[in-house]
Amino acid sequence: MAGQITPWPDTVSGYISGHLTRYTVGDEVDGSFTWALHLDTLLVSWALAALGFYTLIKISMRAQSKNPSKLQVACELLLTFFDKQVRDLFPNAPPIVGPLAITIFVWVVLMNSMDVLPVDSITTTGYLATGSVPHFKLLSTADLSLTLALALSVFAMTFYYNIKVKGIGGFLHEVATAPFGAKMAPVNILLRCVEEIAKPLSLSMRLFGNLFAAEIIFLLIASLSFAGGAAFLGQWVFGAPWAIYHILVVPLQAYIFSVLAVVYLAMAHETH
Amino acid sequence: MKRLYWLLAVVLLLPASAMAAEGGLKLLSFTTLIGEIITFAILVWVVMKYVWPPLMNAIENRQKEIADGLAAAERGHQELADADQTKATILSEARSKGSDMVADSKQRGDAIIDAARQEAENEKARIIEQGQRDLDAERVAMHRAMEEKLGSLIISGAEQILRREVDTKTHQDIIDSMKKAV
Repeated sequence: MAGQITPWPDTVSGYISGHLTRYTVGDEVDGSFTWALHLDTLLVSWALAALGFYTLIKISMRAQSKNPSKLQVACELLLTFFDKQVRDLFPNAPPIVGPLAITIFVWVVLMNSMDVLPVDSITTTGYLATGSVPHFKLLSTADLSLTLALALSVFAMTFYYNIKVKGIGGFLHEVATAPFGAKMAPVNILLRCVEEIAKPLSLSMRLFGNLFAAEIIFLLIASLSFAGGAAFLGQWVFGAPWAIYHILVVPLQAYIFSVLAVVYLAMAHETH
Repeated sequence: MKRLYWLLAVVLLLPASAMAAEGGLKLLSFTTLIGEIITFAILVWVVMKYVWPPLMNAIENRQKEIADGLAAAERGHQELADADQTKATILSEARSKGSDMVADSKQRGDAIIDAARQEAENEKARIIEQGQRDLDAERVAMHRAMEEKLGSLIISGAEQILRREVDTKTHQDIIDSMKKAV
């Protein structure tokens, strides 16, 4: 689907599949996995990270205990909220856990919030600017590559803490014996494998699924008023209620992701 | 039960992704995956180094400042109460001392007045006595003068009488002895 498509195609399926196509760089291969780079995911996530974390750093470096600015108070609210969450879920957490949770939350909230922009924003802007309709998805969290990247990072950390806290021998012993005892070792190992695979998968699939589904609903809403150029106008009006509802989903999904990451890390720290 | 659910999910996920691949949908891009993992690691490091500590520091400093301020206020209250106590003590002390002083000075004044009265009494008695003495002396002197005068009058009268009858010279000694007797 690379290259140019006609602006606002006549069929709903063409409209939707056009919007689901990513801006990729590199050779496509057959299969559900590819080495081609999703440049739109990367660029949007980097831009939002730069915006969000530059602001955070700037405020934090200028933080003062007396007479704080309103932005600083907002950041402190975020910080103390996650500090409390981490304290409750994971007592004696290593110092990386709190920053990890905040990073996930802030980044994912920023990327998720791209969802409330009208689905044709980039398409129309690109068309007006260059005369062609680009395949560019604003919603980075509807890309499994990104959500799985976050989940796999968390998974790697749980693996690291499992071995750090219990030792390799202790960890393997736990894998073989929990929960049914040494006699049922194969079952235990199988269950543990499923559990360990399920953690990053559920983490990434939950975020991806929510945002992907939301995006498709936005596209369907936009196609309700599908008649030539009217999709762009219609999605402002009909998409608004779904976008307003989505304001709830955006921080909720980010919160679930970051708190589950803390929970998984806490589980890695405790012995069965 | 939960584990079974996840087992089912994983088993279902594989054919699902295969079906997606047949439809031409690219679920996963490895390069993007790796790029985002690196990005995520950098972001976590940045937050851990440049966001969390200074912000936490500011919060903790403020908590400490507030606690200190409250403690200082509490101390101030305590000091005020102490000062009130001290003030009351000093005031009552001063009051009692003042009334003592007033009583004392009154007593002393009374004593002085008494002494002065006593002295005045003495002086009065002395003056009266002196006056009495003077009066007595005066009376004696006057008495004597009157006696002398009377004597001399009697004598002059007698002289005049005698002048006619006797010579003065012959009876001079008698007159002198009379004078002396007077």
